[in-house]
Amino acid sequence: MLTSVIRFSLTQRLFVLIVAQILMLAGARAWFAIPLDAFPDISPTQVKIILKAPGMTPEEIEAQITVPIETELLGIPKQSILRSTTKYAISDITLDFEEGTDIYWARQQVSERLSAVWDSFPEGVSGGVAPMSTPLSEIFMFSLENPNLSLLERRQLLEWEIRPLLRTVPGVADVNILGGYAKSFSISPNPAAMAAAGVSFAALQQAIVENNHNEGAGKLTIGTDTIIVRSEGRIDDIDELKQLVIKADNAKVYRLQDLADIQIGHLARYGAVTKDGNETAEALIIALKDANTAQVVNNIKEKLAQISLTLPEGSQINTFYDRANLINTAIETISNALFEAVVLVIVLLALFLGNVRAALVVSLSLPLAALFTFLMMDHFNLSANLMSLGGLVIAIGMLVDSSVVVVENMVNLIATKQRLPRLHLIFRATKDVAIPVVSGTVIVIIVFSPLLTLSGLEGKLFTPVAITIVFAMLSALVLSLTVIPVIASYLVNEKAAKEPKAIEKLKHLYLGSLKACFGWQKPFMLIAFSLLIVSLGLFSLVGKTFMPTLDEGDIILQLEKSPSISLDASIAIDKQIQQTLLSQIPEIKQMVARTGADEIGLDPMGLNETDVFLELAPRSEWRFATKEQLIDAIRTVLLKYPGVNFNFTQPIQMRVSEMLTGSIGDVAIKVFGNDIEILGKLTGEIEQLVTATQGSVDVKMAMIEGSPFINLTLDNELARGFGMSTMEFARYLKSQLEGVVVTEVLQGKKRTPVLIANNQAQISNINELQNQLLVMPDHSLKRLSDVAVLSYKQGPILIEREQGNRFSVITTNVQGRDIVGFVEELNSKIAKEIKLPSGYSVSFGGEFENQQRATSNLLLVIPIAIALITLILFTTFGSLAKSGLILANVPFAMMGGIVNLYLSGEYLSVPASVGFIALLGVAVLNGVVMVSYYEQTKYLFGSLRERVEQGAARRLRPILMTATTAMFGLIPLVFASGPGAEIQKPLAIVVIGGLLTSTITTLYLLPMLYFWLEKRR
Amino acid sequence: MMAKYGACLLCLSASVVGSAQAESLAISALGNLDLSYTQPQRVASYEGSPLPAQVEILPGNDYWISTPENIQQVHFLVGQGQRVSKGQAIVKLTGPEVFHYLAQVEAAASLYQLAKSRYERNKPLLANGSISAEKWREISQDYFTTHLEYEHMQHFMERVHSTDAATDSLVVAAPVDGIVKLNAISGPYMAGDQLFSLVPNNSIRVKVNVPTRQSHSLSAININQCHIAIESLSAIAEGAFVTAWSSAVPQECNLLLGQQMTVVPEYQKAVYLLPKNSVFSWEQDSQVFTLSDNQLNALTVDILGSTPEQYIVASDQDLSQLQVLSQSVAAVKGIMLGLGGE
Repeated sequence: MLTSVIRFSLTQRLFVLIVAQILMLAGARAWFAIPLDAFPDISPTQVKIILKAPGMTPEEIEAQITVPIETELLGIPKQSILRSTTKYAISDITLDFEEGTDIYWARQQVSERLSAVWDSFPEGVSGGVAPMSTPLSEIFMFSLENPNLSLLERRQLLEWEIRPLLRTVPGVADVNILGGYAKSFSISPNPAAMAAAGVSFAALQQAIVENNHNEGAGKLTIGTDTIIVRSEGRIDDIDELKQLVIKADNAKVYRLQDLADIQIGHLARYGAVTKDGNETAEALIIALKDANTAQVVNNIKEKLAQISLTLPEGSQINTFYDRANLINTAIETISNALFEAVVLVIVLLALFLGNVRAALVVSLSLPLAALFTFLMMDHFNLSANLMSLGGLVIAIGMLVDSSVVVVENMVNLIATKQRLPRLHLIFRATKDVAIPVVSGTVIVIIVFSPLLTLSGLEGKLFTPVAITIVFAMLSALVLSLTVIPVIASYLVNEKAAKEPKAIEKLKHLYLGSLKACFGWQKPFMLIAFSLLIVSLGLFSLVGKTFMPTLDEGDIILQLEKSPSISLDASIAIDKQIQQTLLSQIPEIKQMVARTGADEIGLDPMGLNETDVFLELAPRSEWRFATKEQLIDAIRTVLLKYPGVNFNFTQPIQMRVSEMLTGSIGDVAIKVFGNDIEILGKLTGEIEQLVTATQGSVDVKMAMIEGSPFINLTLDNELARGFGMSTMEFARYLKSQLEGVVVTEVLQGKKRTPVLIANNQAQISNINELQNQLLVMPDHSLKRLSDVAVLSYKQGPILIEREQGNRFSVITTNVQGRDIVGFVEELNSKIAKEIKLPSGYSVSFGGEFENQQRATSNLLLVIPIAIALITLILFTTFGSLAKSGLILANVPFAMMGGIVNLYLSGEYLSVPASVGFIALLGVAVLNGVVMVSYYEQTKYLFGSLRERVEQGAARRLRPILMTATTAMFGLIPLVFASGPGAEIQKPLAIVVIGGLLTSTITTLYLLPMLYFWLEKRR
Repeated sequence: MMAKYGACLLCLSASVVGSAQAESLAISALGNLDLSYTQPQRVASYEGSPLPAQVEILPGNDYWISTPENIQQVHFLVGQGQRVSKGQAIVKLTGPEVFHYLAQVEAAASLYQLAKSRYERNKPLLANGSISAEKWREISQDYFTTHLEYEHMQHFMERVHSTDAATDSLVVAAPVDGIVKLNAISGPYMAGDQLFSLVPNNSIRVKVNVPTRQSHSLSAININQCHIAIESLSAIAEGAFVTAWSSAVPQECNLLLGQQMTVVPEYQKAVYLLPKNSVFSWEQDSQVFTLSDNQLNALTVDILGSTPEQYIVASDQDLSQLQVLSQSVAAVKGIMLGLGGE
């Protein structure tokens, strides 16, 4: 079949060229059509439920909302993990599904289960299934600045003018509005007036709700016409609200304004946004899962440009996070690496082949293979990102291998000056190497295909790498047997057949050294195997980690303050820190900080938590060489602000960590158990052990208890006398502190909640709370302290659950040592020093968990890859011994990888492991090239020694070409800087080191071992 | 390395078993935190939380006017609850009974004069023994009886604004300034039935229930822009509250009898005004940080009330001479909880 393909290509050269051109154009079009993003979509099929229960404590929410939902959700099939976090007024439940589960099916399942329990929730609970987004979905953030507008006005503008327009942009899942004040019509009841009028709190509430209503009444037929009839009563504005009749009897009409003070106010605030320390309002745009991020961001910018023209004078849309920046930088980094790799490879080819025409023919396979790869990526919906394009860079050196082998054989055959047509010689040369070329490509594909079986984050990250490599290798294979011979038939001539003098000289030197080595076989072998053993020793010294931290170019500073802090005090501290940082760190252009929870509840933070987005100046303006140095400078400033915990992260990193483990940090130590107090005690003890363990930095313990509560218990015996029930009392209390939204006023597209709330400024201490007046159902007027008993209580601040069990967590980053070693030491300390009560257990999560999973996955897939390669080698050579001989190259390739890893100071991570996998293929390919030649020339040389030595010399050029092109193709990744470079660097370092040693092994050790094997026979 | 939440928990647990008082901190431990201090302002009185109150009549101070005879026709000349002046015509009584009554008054006057003259004339005769003791007792009794009858009628007549013999009517006037409470009944007014009562202006008071522990210092109440002093305080508690009565409600306060409202009490007590952001909660107490010898010391205060910007606090110590931390208080509390650092 291969012969037919080659024959067809060479007989139908014009057709092949036209088809190739069409495919090239399609490939170019595909490049512009492929979705662009910084990273592949790394989220599992995940459905989040976010519910707001204003005024409720964590324990109440857990009992009344979280647990019933969890119980219902646990019955859904295909789920992998169920987690929840319950805080004051918020329940956040996350359900992860098995890989490959359809997200729409998953969301439907969750929605159905949620609907089933919804009726059992306390009144006032709102929310539901969160928008279909991923941790990468927060793609664009901006604040609205206008000194002439109040915070309430800015928020109104964002909420009702800008948000609806942005939601029309394709790919936008939602727009989260944060900060400012959410406008409401606030009704502050006058208890004395209500008591005098004989109107209870419940009656007031009911009257407002029932009188803000329009409804269709039906149709009225008048003669031949039918006219729709409706009842109208909706309130249109605050004046109508004031005039609303609450009670009318005996000619006494009580309007709302007679019984309450009505004014424009705002809903209770759960968070705030500041820009450079001053309050503002912001919008956070969330992209749909699988949206083309770059395209969506562009569309958002266009829409914002249109919107800005209609905004009030002085308004400015201040963008402080734009994912397009990261995408552009990442794509630029990888594109540069790709370009440099292509140039280096072409230069190498020209040097080795010594002929521009031949080099050009081989080099053409690079752009063509890349374009065909893009075509396939587009067809299979693979986005262009750091990982998929990184795969192309990794493959660059190997892409030319097939063409190199084909063209080199052509050149050699043409050099024999046989009296045959050149086209026929090209056909023969291509046909002769077709099977080894296909075998070699299949080996590379087999080597990378186990990556497709990786799961979790590593699977999401490296599957695109493997797929791109497979696409590129297949493209290169097809090209080498079709288009390349056709182009070669036009360009390669006899001049190309001449070997460069430098190569001849190199061959001479190599032959001399090989002969010398044959003279010192035993010492050479001893040295080689000793080095192998030493490298094994080095392996234990190489640190291990899950994944290098990707530099997103941005910094998020996380601040954590006293748990019971008020919003105003929290903002005041943030302001101090922000203004100091702005004055002392000129690299910071602006800081936009989010304190507390967002509106949708995707990020349910407490009032004591702040995420500060630092927009940095261009690197050219920095005083520091690296981002780490900049962070150190910021850290130095922050250390002078005691009383505030801080942590550094990045926008995507933060969300990814939260998504994967539910907690942020290299290692998360989870303590499972039921009793909050015992959990708190155990967590405290373990936290001390973590702190004492070398390498721990940024140790954080989620404070699960210690939140002060004021309990107001209705004196039932007394209250019943006035007809007051516990529920009515709770509603009253809520209206005094939080406010109760009873209805909404529709004004065009704006919806303004009507809030029954006390003027909160009135209650700011216990005395005032106790003296609050309430109208009893019998219309008598009482003070709160008349009917309720006040007490203090300590309760949980948050309750975290996993698979229906409560847990608390300590997180830590690990610096200066490998994570696995850290966890092992910590685990043994915990086992020794902490006595866990019955029903309590400890488990480790965080990035460590991912690393463990990745290790076990790799330990499974690497042997499978080796077994498959052995099978192919056995099929090719028909000898297990020769297959083993080629595989003997693998440990020496690994040796180079380990030494390079050790020398570079990089850790053994998933990308480094992928590098080792890639080495398997390259090392084996070199061996195949050498051994296959020995097998082909079995009868051409007089003695075995001559065959081995001359054969090795003749294969020097192709071996060096394949090895150096692969090495130099990766060198740009080693020296690349910028987002994404750090994840490819360990891989490139391993492959380059391994190629170096495996090439030496192929050139010296393999001939000796082959000689030794054949001699024995 | 970052400070740990563990310390925070330990700190909290320690404080649970130990004193509620937070600790002391050296100023040097506060790093670059912005620190500013406020000297608490001492004031002699303060406004507390609003209290429910009602405009009521101070018991026992109102006037009652009853009809002396059965009256055929009663015609009120003022409206119910109207504020009236002394001498202002309130009600007109019409009918033959009025004529009879006026005649009775005249008769009573004549009889009284007759009895009086007889009494005066016989007084010397008693002295010289001309008349017997029995006779004198009879004369005296007659005199005092007619006197009482006459006085009784005269009292009503003093309230009479005018009489009209032609129409057999008389008009009753208000005895004092005050608010009239008419007794409008559907049937005839029988002798002795109340015609109206009059609440004197100075007996219109605000009655307020004040928490017992603050009652002794309650000095006045404020309603809108109206300031009314407290006049009396009950010596009997009703549960946790004591009833206080204000002085007479000035007319310019525009308060109506029976009106329910909330009033802002003013307590006469030496207290301090502090910025709200200088106070923090520690266990079940409210505390402030005071500066002394480069140390911040936590001091428990009792919050009595608040204004939009300030707390009104009481303390065992004289705060007026102290410097109270009013900035970065939450961060300092964070230090107490073990937060911060790295």
